[in-house]
Amino acid sequence: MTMGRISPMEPHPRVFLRRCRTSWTVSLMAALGLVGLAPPALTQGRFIDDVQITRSGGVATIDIQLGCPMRYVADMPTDAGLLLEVRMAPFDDCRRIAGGGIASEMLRPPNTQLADLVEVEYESLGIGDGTMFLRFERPVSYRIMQLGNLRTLRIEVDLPDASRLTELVPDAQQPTDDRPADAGSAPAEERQSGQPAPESPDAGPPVSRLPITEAPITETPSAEQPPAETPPVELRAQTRSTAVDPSAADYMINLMSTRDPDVLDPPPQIAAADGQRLYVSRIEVDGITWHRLRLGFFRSEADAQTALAALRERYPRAWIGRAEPAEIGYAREFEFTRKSAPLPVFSADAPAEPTPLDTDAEPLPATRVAELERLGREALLDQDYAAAIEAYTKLVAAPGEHRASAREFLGLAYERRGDIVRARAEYRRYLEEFADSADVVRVRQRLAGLELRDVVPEAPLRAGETEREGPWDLNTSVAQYYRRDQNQFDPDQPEITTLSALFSDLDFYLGRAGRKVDFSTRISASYMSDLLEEDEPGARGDRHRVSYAYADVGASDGRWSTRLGRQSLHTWGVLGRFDGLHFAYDLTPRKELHVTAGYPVESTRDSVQTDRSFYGAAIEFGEIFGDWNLATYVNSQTIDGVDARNAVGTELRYFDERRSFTSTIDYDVDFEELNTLLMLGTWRFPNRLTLSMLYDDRLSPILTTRNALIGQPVSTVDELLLVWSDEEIRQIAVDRTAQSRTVTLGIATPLAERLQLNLDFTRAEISGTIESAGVAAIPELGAQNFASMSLVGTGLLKGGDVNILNFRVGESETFRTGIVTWDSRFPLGRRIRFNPRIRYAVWEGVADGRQRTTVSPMLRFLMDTRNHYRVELEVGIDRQLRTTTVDETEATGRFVNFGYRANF
Amino acid sequence: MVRKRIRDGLIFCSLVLAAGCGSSGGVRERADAATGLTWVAASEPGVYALTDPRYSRAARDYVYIGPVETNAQGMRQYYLWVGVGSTLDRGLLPSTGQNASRITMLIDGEPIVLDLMPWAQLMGGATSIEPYDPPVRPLVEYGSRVTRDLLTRINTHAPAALRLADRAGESRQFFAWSPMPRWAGFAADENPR
Repeated sequence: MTMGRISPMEPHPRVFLRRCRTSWTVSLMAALGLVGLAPPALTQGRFIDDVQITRSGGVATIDIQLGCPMRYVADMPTDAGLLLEVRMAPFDDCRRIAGGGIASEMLRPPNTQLADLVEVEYESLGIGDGTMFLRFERPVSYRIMQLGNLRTLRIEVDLPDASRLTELVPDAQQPTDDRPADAGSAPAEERQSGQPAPESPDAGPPVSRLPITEAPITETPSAEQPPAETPPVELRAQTRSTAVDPSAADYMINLMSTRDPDVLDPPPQIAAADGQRLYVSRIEVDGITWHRLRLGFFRSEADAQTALAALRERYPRAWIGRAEPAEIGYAREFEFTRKSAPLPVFSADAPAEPTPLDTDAEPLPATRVAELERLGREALLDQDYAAAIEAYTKLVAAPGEHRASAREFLGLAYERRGDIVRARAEYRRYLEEFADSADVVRVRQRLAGLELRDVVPEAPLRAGETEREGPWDLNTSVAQYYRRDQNQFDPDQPEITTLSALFSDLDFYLGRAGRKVDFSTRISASYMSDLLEEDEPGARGDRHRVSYAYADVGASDGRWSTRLGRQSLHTWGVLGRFDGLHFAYDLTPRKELHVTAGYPVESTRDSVQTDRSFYGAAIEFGEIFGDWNLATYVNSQTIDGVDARNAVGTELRYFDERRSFTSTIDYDVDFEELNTLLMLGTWRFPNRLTLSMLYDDRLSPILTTRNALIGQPVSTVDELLLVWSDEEIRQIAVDRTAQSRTVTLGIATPLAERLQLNLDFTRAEISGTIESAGVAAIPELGAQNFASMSLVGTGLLKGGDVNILNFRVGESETFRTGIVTWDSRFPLGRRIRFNPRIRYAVWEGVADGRQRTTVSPMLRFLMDTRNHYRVELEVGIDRQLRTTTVDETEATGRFVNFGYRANF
Repeated sequence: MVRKRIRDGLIFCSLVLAAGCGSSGGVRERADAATGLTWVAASEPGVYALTDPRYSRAARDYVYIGPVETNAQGMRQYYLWVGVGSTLDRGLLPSTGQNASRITMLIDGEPIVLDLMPWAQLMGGATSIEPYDPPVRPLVEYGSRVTRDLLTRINTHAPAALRLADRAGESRQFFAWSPMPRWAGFAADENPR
């Protein structure tokens, strides 16, 4: 998108002029031709800061970096395993993101294919309750763990074979790491009980030595699949089965199932023995179309087992079944003498007969015919072959002159979809039905072309063609939202517009896997164009943010990696976002060195700020005993040349199928203060009951010399040094630092098949601070107690719906509060979703009897288009009644938020 | 005192034996007199259920699945037996699964879709093959031709849910009601007999 194209959306000339003066961030975005956005929540940060996906062997690791501390509560797979719901309890820090209200955000991170992940979405129901949704390409088994910083949620996904990546890497080209296992992969691989142990790289796939009479089905060249070094796996059954008796053989091997037909295009490199067929059986299960790669047919299960033995390593999930006669007949139509044509696709949902004419049907009105022809034509152009087939099938079934062209296009749609048998059936029927048509020659050519491609072999591939680096992987997400907030703070006052702005967000990722070195880069930036006049009350001015801007360079075998630029870390003593360097190196398979250095980032609106700097090092020890991992670190920070923090710490983690425990200890050796002592444990029982516990004792904010600036009229330590000495400044920093202690206990349990109950109890205490250096004391807040109960219903009314009813009460010496929230997600088809939500909250001051009652109904509408866009519209009202001992005041707020997000 | 010890010992042994009977999951082998076919089934089927709160919160529909092996003069065939029963009283409305034509499960991430036939039709003249007698008597019984490999996988991975669909496209999902029993004779660590 160019600047010119977005300018019509910004009617105020001042905005355009102001943009011309913006900093390097916007210049960069403009140079890229993209100006992106952020939904309103992004103006204060995100709940999901980043999602990083890595993969080692059959385990993909999804690290979700959270924008604020949250506690894992429970998880629940739904939608037949395609959707993972993770209940989270956000801490008070999250209030800055959405003001403690209801908000949501969606992210489609780079490298999703590594974990068969589609997208990650977070819905906040306010403080104390939120849900993370992870939608997968296919049902997965997983493990969840939260790291000790409460900022990272780690999900390990088992992907034994059928993911796209594994499928694209031929056996002989699997990484030939000669180490026993690298630090990341070792524990994960060991957990895969059903996985065969990897063979020696020299062994290669087990290959039968019987000659085969037909040419192998060969993949077209790709970077991941050098055919010259990847002999096709040859198959044979027992000798008696090499000549298959068509009347008796109905055993087949289901090699893999995938939702992504592209995985099978080009076809896998498997050489079928004489009489056997490799084909695809397509079937719809719960609205999801599965493509099942099958090899048939065998006279007995033992014969199939023998053939499968040669393929088991490559297809560990393969199973042996029995095919129905229609499937056998379909697959037998093909002779596999071609090399790169699409595999025959058998639809298990319907027979492969040409579409019949419905002789009883009424002729369609001319307008309806024209409409269906238009729909079919557009669908063909959009490559939406299912929609094209639907339109042309209706046309063919109805009597009329339109049937000839409709049948030809129906055949074309089948052909383009790879359903060659149906395409041929339609073309043949055309030639029978419309033998006198002027287009017979063309249809005959189409049919001949189909039949020709089954018998004409293509030139063999040259070895050198594929010995090259992988293709560049470009992943871009662009979003633009308009948000308008109107408020009437008092019935006697006029309504004012407090926000009218266009938010744009860009997330750009470019990466390439090399033969020895991988490279990637990422830029995540946002820009707010304020459409209010400068003198209007809510005017903020234009704002930009750069959340990430880094480049990664790393060894392809994972031994080392370097990230340079703006990035974020909440582990090894690093306190969040920084501009700098992170270098990682595998010292041994179970020992990893991390070196970090750079300048902390106070706000994503800032460019590089050099007044503060830090460096640190950490060593991660994998599996020190059993499933326990340990990290130790040192971290040193300075501000204006003065020591700000010298910390040592450890992070201890335990992680198995049912239990996880993580603890963090951060101690400052200069201040001689324990900064953080955090323990977090979860235990999931076989009946899905989950217990969780958190103990978090920390200094707030974390103790650094910079805390001395709190409440001071100056903004740098240099200025403080004009008045106080180093030691005095350090003491002032201690005086400004409070102690907070939080204990949480949680239980989550399924009540019924579709109903889950979550109960939480939290007790928080924050100490006061003393008066010093001209800054007043802050009194102790005393203990605050909160209890929360959520009922989560899934699929109550129809598949895919989610209803959450949350009750939350809290009390302390100064206030009492109660909140009821209902949040609902209703899918309407596969592309549209409604989210009605309402919240009712009461807050009451204990001392003065003040009361605030708020009712907030909201409605959100989401629509996913076929071409990577998501359109969103959200409207809401906020009515608040403030009551004191002497009067009542009513305030009303309204907002509308609409826009789009596109992922390319 | 001695009698009391003997009595306690007998009670203990009985409990041990009863526990053993309850969990051993041995195979049941029978012969069909009419055809000479012998057949083998596991001790108990897997149980799946679906509550329907519109009618009752206590009653529900059940789907049972179990393995069956037939042997006709050394020719072994494997079947998945599917029984559909209900404790719901729907009045005049038909029960779930009366016209089921397909059963779908996700096994280890793989969609397993099996076409169903009426059990009696699948067994031909072998009318005595009634492999399972679950607590809720099945109203209809189906079967599907499968392989031992598939039965082993179903038993090993114990799908959390399964779906029955009829020819009209209507389908209902049933969820595991109790842990899948071990299907002795069909388990992964056993060789085919």
